Amino acid sequence: MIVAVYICLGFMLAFGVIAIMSDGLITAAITLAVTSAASGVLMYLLGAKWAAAFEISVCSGLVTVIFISAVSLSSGDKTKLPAEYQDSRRTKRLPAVLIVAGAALMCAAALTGFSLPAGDAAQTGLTFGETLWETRQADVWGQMIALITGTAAIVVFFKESENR
Amino acid sequence: MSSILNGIPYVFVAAPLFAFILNNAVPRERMRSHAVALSGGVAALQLAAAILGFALLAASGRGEVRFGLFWSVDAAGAAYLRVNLVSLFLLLCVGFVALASALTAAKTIDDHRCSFANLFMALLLGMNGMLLATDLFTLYVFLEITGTASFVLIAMYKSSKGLEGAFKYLTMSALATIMMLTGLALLFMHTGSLAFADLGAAALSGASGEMDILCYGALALLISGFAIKAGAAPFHSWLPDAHQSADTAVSILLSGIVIKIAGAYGFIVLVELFGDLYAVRLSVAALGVATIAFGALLALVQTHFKRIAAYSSVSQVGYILFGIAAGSPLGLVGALLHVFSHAAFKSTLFSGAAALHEQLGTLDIEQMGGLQKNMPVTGFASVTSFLSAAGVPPFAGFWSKLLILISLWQAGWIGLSAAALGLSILTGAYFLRLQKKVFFGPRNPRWDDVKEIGGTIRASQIVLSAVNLGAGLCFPLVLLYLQSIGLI
Repeated sequence: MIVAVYICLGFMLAFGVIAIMSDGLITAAITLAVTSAASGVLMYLLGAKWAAAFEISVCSGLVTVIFISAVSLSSGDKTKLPAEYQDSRRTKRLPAVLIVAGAALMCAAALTGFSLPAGDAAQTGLTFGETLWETRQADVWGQMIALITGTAAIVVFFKESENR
Repeated sequence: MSSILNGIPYVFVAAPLFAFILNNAVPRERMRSHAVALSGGVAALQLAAAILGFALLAASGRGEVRFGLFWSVDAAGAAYLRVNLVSLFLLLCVGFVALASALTAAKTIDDHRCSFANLFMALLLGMNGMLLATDLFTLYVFLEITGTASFVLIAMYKSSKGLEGAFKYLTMSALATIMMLTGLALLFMHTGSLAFADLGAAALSGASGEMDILCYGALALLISGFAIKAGAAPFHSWLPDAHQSADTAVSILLSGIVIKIAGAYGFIVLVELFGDLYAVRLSVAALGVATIAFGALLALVQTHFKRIAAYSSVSQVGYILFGIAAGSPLGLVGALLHVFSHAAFKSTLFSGAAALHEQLGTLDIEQMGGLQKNMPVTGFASVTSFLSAAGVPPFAGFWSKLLILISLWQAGWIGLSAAALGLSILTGAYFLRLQKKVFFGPRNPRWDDVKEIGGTIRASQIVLSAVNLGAGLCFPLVLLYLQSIGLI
């Protein structure tokens, strides 16, 4: 399993870097979805099956659809980063920084005897619905409020075009 | 009485949510002129509900009131929200600052009034949710809502400065998110739960009695994450830019309450859960001393009114951290009272900034001078704010700082207590400089025809000045009351 975990981490790192370094919003949205899908597989491998299903369906699926729809509905000039931000020097050191940080984390894990949790550690015996509705409902409400906050933000940034 | 007390916590969720829905259900053209007033009404309702709730809960002798929104909190293992005296006091502070912000927004927010009201309500929901949470992950979810709403409020007008300030805030918030999520994951690995009831120093050390180095790492990450949100040094770089570039009504919210709920409240929770670990309290105290010193020294060299106020907020957060780090009920009461007194004097100061900006069109203090005669109400309000901030009796800031100093002394941190006292001289210095440059000294002839501001900003300044002085005069009574109910 450890090989699969490292493959997922590698996917997350590689596509996460592409998402940050890309100048195109569509490319960034798609590579972000791949990063999210890889983290979903990682969650599944580590035993958090409900979280994995949620991550892959909502974060990787639904959110990507919303991103791409929003970008497509925006005018053409918004699908690319403005020229003043298209500076490759801005992110060229990012891969190196991430590789060094990853190596440091691996060393720290080795030195502290860090081990992966058992596959069934996150299972509580409750169904997905019971888990979500009875033990994490405050978080569900929080997510809904986060969603309406995001909607209000989209209205401010995309619909209201006046400048003070 | 019990049914009223059980119903009060719902106000903190339902009122902003109802206002948000109403704000969007009614056509914008019709809602535009009422949106800010509606937000102010919600803030006033929250203030009243928190005061009533605090009095009823203290009288009832119950430690907390548990509630769920659409689920039963009685089932075994069920999650629940709750209010206790600490959260009710902070909910009161949220309502108070939100009301001051709404009064200022009525004058300063011209465009996007409905969007402002929407984001304002989302911000209230975020902060209220943090104060009602009983689980670190739930607290994190509502912290993100608070951060998102704050970020959009700062960038609302899409000016280059606003976007720059918001981007800095977003970048630092993202860093805080990474730290906090990693910290929460490490804690969850060790304890299998993030509910407050299941956490504590004993839960981390487990049966062996020795704590894993990763637990210390988790706590360090959580402390750093909350330090970023609180604007504590050396994580304060985002705060002055964000506060300067935002509309003044938003600055009141950010400086008056958001940094305390998003940051300082996180420290209150951490010290409540892990205060038995000396390293946790020492880390918070070290952050406190650095924050007071950095904030005050940087405030001394600024020339923009709102930047001085923002660095002053950084410095004052340090005192709140000192009270929390003391780890005693007296220290906590001192910290909470300083949250209130800082909310009052900083809202006064930012209302003054709104008045100056509306009347002069600039907030560069080098261009001001001698404005006391032209704007006596703003000048007087600013002086009350300065005296309270500097800890001069009988203003509110004096009592809260005094309690913090005593709690540090009692905790055996005499050096820190002396440092807190010594550094308050710097507070006096930068506020004296501000007063002299803006309201006293020779008047710039450019401002000969400037008149005092009217309307809601003036009303807000008068009320806030009265609170600065009145709260200070009533503080001994408050302390006697807290003593009578066994809080100190």
